[in-house]
Amino acid sequence: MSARAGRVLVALPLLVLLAVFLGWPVGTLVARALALDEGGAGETLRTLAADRYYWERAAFTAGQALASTALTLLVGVPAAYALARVRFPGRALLVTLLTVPFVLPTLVVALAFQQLLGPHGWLNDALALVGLGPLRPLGTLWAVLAAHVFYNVSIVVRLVGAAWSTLDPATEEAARTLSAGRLRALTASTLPQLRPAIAAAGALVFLSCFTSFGVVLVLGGGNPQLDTLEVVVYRLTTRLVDLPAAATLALVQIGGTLGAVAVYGMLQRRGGTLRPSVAPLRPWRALRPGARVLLSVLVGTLVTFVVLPLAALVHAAFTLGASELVTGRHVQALFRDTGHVSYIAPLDALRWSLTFAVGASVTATAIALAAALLLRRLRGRAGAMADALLMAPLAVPAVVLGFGYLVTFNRGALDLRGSPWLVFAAHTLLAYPFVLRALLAALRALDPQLVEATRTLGASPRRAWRYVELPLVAPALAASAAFAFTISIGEFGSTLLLQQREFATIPIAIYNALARPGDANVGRALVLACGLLLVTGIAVALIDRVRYRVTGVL
Amino acid sequence: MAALTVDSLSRTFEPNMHAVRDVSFTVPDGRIAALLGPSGCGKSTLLRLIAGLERADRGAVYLDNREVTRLEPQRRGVGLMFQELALFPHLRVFDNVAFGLRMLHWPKVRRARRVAEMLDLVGLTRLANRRIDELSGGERQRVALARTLAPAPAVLLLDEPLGAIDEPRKRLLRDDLRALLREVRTTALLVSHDLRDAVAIADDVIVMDAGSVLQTGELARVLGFPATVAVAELVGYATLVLGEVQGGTVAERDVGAVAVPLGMPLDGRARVMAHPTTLLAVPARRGLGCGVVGSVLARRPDGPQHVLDVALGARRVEARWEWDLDPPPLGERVELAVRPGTLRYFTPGGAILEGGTAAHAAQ
Repeated sequence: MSARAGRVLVALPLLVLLAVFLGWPVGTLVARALALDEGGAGETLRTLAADRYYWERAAFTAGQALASTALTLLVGVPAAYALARVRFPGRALLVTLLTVPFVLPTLVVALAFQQLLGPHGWLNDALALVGLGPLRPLGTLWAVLAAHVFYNVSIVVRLVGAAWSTLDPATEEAARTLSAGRLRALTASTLPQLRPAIAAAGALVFLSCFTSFGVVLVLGGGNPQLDTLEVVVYRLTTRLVDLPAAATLALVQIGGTLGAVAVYGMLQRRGGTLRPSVAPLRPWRALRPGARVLLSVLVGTLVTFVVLPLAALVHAAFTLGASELVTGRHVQALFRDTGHVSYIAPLDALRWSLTFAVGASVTATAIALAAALLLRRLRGRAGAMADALLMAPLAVPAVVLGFGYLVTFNRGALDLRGSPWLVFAAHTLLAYPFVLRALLAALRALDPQLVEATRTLGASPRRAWRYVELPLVAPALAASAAFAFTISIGEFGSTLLLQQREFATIPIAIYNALARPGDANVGRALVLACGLLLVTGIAVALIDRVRYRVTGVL
Repeated sequence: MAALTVDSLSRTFEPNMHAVRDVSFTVPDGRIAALLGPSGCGKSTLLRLIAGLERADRGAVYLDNREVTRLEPQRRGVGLMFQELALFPHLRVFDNVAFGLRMLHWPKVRRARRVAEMLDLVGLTRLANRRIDELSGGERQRVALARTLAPAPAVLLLDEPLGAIDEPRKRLLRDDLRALLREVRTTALLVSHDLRDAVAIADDVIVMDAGSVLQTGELARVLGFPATVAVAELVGYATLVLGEVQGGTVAERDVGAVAVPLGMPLDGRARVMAHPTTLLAVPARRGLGCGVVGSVLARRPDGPQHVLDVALGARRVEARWEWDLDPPPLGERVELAVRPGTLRYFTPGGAILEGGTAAHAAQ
């Protein structure tokens, strides 16, 4: 079989999968939005365009995403500098700590901030101690922004930090010997070199905040002024059943995300693969006293910012509504069937969560590996186009994808409504682009001479792959599979639309419990969130073990 | 072991850009040949063509009489040691060396014996279980050599084997490499841009420039009698006189004149060249030199002696100064003296002239 025939053989099923599980649903949304089947092409669009509410929602969605991005960069870039350039006590721990929020389910993050910022949360407790407060940040934009910065800051730290650590410190030193001050050297030499990485990270953060769903739903506290487009699409679908309007907004959403994805893709290619050389870290003692104070404050703030909400979450799970110091009653209550229609047995939810996560992780990794092998040798225009095509799922937000599946797979033999297979497909598709990016980076970082060496030592291409390339990308493969696992296990947006009680996942169980009043229900949600925290923590530990050998988005 | 024959081999990467053009030569069985030429002259491409990592547009490669031009790299029996070594970072030293044997399905016991033999040969037995990133540059180089030699390739190709080594260690490793290659008695083709590597290791030399072979032959012969001005310059010769043949000499204004050996068929214009290692600078007009005079441009201490840059018209020639412990002042006129029999005469077209008796010329 020739190499070309092999490529076609790999490309064909990939394209069919993307066409069926991405192209078709999005196409159906377009048809719905334009109401093609009802003959009223463009009617919905005109109605929506005339309604101020939708303009406001679109503007708010973009505005909060921009504000979140700016704040995240403000926190993340100095942290990236510290991690890329200075060896300080606890550095490795901080790197691990910063990975956690990124892979945490958004619902867990939202719940953690709810506990931290709530009327009886640690923030108000602390303020009361000094005679201030109480503050009521829940239901305001501030709570949403804080949560967004929390789980996105590690994107910035990772992407910018990776670029910064491969930047030759000599260029900054050269700028300084050319009589640039410290600040001038930073702005004239270092930051311009980092611009692609900063912009790429910014585009990813924007993408994540623009499609924010779980955080807004929980921390927005029902304030309609905080609804993002994603939330509006959800409400239109489930409450108002205005499908044409939902479809139209979904397309507006995709328009916005496509822009961010395009910027990201462009910068990714311009950045190229990371150079393997990494500049040596400056020892802590070599810093000037002022810099040490500044760095200590920065690291301390970061650690507090990451640890505090999670600590508040765990604390609340074991103290909420209890007179004693620690209570296990919410854990016990979890396993007591309330008989309520919405009761979801935690072990069933865990079983389904793990089933989806393992299935999606394995499938997404397999598909992404095929796509990465296809893409790695393609360069130039053809490479850019194939890359854009295979990365397309990144541009479809979770709720939109779930909604697309609902309106697509509802006829005849393909009536999959109420089937767990749709959840599995959605999770796989949502995780796949991240796995692809990581694998592609790992494959492209392989020295082509290694393969040539295996060939001259008597290995066929297939054995070269098996004995040399595969073992070398295995760490990246394992890390990205673990990452796909965490994406699936925390997935909320699409699952909420596609789930049934029989195969509800843990995030759904959390949301169900939260939707009902009373400490008992909140306690139940908190315990479930802690469980999710534990599972993702284990996955992070796995990612962390191979971190140093992996480049790319992870 | 086998003889390596390359016949009219060509490879073009872009239209009208020949990486390798119509190259032919033979490396006899068991001999070590050095492929010499400036960076970018097509040496590495030629090696890759022989190893099968590039497809030839035209021509053929033979091992003994077996044509291998169309064979996949893994079926050629050609070992290639890469400039960057390309050691497998996920394997230990032992498994790196065993890799080729594993691909050939050698049984485990035999494999282990052969690897032990190879590690012993390169003196790395005690490092068998080390990771690659725990080795020094020289140790890595020896692992790469052991890995390439282990499957006993019919022909061994070495791409700048000393390229990644710093200068002081290079001398030692050159000697090591020569001793090793002699010991395994393999046919080898070595690429280098450094003449000293070739001199230290090879029996034969193939001089290349711009994708073409300029001259092949025994090392001493090519260095002593470069066939053309281009080869002479590549192996380090400098032009002493470029001028008219008149009255039994070749003369150039402002430079001087050197005698033409008896019976050498020269007329019109000619070029006289010498290798700097055969030149001495001496005080001018004392009848000590060969008749070529120039002024001192620069002086460099070299141990207790000095090396001078001497301006000959617009050219610059390097010569040793052993007349005195103190070098002459800048601008001073000095004459060049030549070791007997080492001047080389070239036609205006650039071809060497070997008629007459060169040995008599300087006497």
